Amino acid sequence: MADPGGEIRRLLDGVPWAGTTSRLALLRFDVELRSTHAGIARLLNELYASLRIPGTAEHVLSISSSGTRWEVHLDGVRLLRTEAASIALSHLLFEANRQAIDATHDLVLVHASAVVHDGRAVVLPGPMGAGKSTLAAALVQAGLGYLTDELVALDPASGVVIPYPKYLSLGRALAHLAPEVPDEMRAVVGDQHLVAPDAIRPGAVAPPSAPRIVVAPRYERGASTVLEPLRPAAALSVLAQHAFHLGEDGPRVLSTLATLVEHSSCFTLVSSDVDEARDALLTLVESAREPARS
Amino acid sequence: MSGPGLAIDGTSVPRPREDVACVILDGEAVIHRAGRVHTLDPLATLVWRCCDRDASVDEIASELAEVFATPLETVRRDVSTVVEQLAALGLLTANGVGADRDVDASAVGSERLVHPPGSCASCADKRWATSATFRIGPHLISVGTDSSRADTAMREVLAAHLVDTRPVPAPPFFAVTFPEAQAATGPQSLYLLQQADSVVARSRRPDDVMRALATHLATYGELRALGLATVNGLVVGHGDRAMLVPEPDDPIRYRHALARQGVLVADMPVAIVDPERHEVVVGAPGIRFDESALGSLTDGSAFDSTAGTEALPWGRYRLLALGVAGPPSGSEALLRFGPVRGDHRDHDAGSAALLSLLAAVPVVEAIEPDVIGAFLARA
Repeated sequence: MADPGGEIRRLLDGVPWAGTTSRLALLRFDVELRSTHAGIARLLNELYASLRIPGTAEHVLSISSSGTRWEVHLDGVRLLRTEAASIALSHLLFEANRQAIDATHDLVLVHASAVVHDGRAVVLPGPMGAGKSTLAAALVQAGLGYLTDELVALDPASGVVIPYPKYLSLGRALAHLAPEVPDEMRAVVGDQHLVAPDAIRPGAVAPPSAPRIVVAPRYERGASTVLEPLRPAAALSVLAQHAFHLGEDGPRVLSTLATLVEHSSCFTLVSSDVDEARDALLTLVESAREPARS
Repeated sequence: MSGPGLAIDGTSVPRPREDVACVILDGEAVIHRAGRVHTLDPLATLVWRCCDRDASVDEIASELAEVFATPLETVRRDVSTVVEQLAALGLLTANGVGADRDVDASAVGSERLVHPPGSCASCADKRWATSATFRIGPHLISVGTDSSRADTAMREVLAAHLVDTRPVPAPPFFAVTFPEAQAATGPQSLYLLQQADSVVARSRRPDDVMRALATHLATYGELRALGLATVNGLVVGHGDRAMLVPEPDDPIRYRHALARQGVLVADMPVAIVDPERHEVVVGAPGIRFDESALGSLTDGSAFDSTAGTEALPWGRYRLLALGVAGPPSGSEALLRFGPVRGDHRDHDAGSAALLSLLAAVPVVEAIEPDVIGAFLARA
């Protein structure tokens, strides 16, 4: 919403919020998250703690209740109205990511998780349900550094992955890593298992790191764990299929991803067991001291 | 692969589309165009690489036959096949094949509204017997129906906006349902205006639904040119006075409760306001709505356009207040009446109008029907 005189922001500041996060840098989306519900405000503060920056945010993303309905607003524009608090919270978390994608054009974004071993980033691209978040959580718990479980942000100039260390959304296999949800928050959180990276392992968040391994994971019920090399063009295709802003900036995105592939060893990983998948990747990162291509 | 319209021959000169992005890794090309990523095998990549030098299919085949010491006819067949496939994918143009294959001529100059709020897979599957497309300000809006009577009526009452009666590929943005086209007809059958799976207006009178269609269409028009804007909320009125209140959880029960207080509700999806004059406009500003054509809906009998109307009549009303639940404040009003993303309406104009109203019109704690009734009667 256009707000030339700052009047909308003044009105938003007048809402009796129960809590608000600090200013957050969700990549280039500069935002505060606010809620009229104290428990939600506390949860948001915990989940996004790694993304705090000083100062006053440009945008306000909020979740509030009105009568029997819950609403999500961005700068006073209503995004959602629903009876279910859990749907509203899910939408707010989704929207925060969506805005991060929409606001970030200088970096090349891929729907992927990423962890760091020995200063080298492992990029795990894949669709929702492929197991990339769960795998990232298992690897972080095993001692690897955390970069993101959602958006790998590549700096086209240097090729490094810029951290976007938001909370992790865990699958059932690692749900026990998420802190216990207080009774009054059960209906709000629903069946999501959300955990801040520091709650998995204090100090887990890693600095910007150069990617050297690409693994496309796929959860397949009942499958044995198989790690196989991936042809460079096939790896590029996987990354491109999960890249954002290809339509607007195709050549730059594709060439950045091609550089990533050229400097990385690339694999597919099929598994039905998160422990086996984690062990296969730990073995891989321990052995892959030198890039396959340079 | 050789299909209708893919007229590739030896003289064809294939060229990459200008909007492709391509990277070649280990002899395999990865190409992006129009939201899709394609990976070419080494043979197709080889042909692709030859397609950027203004060479014909025959020239490319000759060159490759010489390099690989392979019979020319074999290579020519392979090259033609690959070029046809790449043209079919929209990656190459050759003799016009593959050129502009994604342009939707109907979209030029106007945005066709598709996927109304609440769209779902089943809505997309629904097929209507007829549909008409209307130009409303910058938008093309299709309205489907299964009733020939409704189809005739809406084309007549909105004739000034009718641009196209051909079927549209996307589900219509609105649909009108008359009782004769419903599965179970009977004395309680209603005339309905729908958006996706939601009924947005219902009445026992067909003309009410035509008016509701016009008011809904108006909210997507060029209201700014008329000094008007849309804000969210329900318009309730009494006499020449009106209030804006938040959308209730149960609109039908709320409407009946207000009626008992002598307060009527406007059949509007959002409020159309005049921020300069602090007024609410009920009706279809900007829409040329031919009332006389409504006679076709009444089987020729005399038609009284006001009889039995339960909604706030069309006209201008003084906006006395914005009603909210709980302690009144501009902040609360912003959250209740601010714009909604994705509804295709003019948000900037709506926001500016809301801020203007907040500077001139009080926000009061009033959403209960008896409180609203007393407030409007007292004023």
